[in-house]
Amino acid sequence: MLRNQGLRAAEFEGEPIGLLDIWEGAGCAIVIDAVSSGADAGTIQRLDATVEPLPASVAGAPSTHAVGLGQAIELGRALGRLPGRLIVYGIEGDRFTAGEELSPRVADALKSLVEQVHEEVLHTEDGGAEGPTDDA
Amino acid sequence: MSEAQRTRTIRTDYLARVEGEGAMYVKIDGTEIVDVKLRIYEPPRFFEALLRGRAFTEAPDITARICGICPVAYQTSAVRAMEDACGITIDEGPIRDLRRLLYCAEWIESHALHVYMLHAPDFLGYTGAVEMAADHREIVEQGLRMKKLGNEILEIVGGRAIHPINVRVGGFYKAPAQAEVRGLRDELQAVREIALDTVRWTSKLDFPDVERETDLLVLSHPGEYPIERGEIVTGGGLRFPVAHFGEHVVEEHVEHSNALHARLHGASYLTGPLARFNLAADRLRPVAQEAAREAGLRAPTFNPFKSIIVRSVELVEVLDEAVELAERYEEPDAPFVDVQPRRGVGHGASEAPRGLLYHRYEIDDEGTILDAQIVPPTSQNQLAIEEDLRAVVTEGIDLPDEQLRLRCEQAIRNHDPCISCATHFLELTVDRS
Repeated sequence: MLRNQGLRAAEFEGEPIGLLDIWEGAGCAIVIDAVSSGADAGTIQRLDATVEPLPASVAGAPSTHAVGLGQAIELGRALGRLPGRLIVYGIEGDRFTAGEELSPRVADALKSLVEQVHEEVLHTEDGGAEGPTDDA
Repeated sequence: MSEAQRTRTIRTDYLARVEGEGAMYVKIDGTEIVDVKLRIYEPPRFFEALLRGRAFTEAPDITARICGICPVAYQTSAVRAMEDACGITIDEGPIRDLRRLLYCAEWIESHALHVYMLHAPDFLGYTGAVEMAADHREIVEQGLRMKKLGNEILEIVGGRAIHPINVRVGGFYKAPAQAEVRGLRDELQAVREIALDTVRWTSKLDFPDVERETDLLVLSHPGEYPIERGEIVTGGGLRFPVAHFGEHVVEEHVEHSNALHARLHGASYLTGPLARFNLAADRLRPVAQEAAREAGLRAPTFNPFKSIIVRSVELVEVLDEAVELAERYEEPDAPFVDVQPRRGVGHGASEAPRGLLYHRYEIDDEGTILDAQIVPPTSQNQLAIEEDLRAVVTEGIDLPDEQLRLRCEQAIRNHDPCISCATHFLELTVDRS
């Protein structure tokens, strides 16, 4: 969906340190991930990680991939390897069983999030030339 | 003195920088260690039950989901077990080369993550890689470059970096292009130099004076360092085919852990880098042998803290082998051999970065899985880790609790335990009375 909007998108799964390579050279990166916080399915959270760490509740430590998203972001910050702007969107998941499709509520939320991301990129100072990252 | 005054408790909610989660309990009475337990409280993962009723061709992809750090190990042990059940052996040729290259990539990625991001901070006095990056940027960048190369190989050969999708029973769904594989050579050679440098600096770290001799268990194949094939050998001199694993190693449930504990003829044993090095150092490639020699590393080495040097030597080993595999790679005529199911039992084992991973499957004539058994390296190492902790606490019994706690965490990380694989996780309690 993001690619249809003319944005550069990459699917990424697993060990999040690899995101640093995907972000290389990007003016703006937007990470989209599923979250499970107990909110209603499809609830969208927007977090700006450009200058501040993610809150501990969503930083993801310690994960089954050894380093959580929050730690990967902070490693990038320590090394000066973060994009100029870094936004993290979390969509509250509904079905977490392997092989299940998105529930209708989450699928609807995803459609509206795509619009939101498009707007976000349009309003980025450098025009979002490098586009967002879609962390599937 | 009241009971409350005599007993001090140190508690952490989790042990960071270990794959997954677990808990550790140490009880000290005066100068005597009364109890050491590595406790597991992540809910058991019912992958073995999940596999029953599924097609034999699905085992590699299902089991790859058990661990985000060592999916190739799961895939490799699964395909070897299924091929064994179906009477097929793929031990030579380009498909075997690709499997070996894919496995090298997993070692590169996993060892780089562990050496640079997870274990080095312990030795250099940092709480993690983020804090270490401010003072040791070059070390962290080297680790990231190495990991990136591992990812790239996994993507080219395995189809993607995490949970590769190109592995199937009999070989691969699609052979990677020759130009892509051979194009890896220059970076592999450059990163091999970084690994050699890593052996040098890890060998100069400060190692606690802990030696603990234990039995060892590794794969063994003539003329090569153990990775993805071979019989099983032990430090005590046993040698047996993978199919006899269950006759020698017995898993038992213990009350304090969700994970099964494995014993070799009733005793604890070690699998993983130290075990491989101690039983196969003479089969390292010349460049890795020379690196170990220069670092003063000799087999047998029973200081578990020196596993960080062994991992670095193993990085040299797999990077050097990957150079050769990439250079000689030619696209096979067919990326897989046809494997027809037949009723039977198959066994497969391979050396995950953290130790031997055993799979056993029973399938019917249609290839439906009737029974599955998976013995991951961390459940095999659990008893050895507990015994290491006894040795570490004995050696450091006069340390303040906080320092002792950090030393114990470091001792657990010596074995790079993959708690998710073994259904564990970690919290630390020290009782002194």
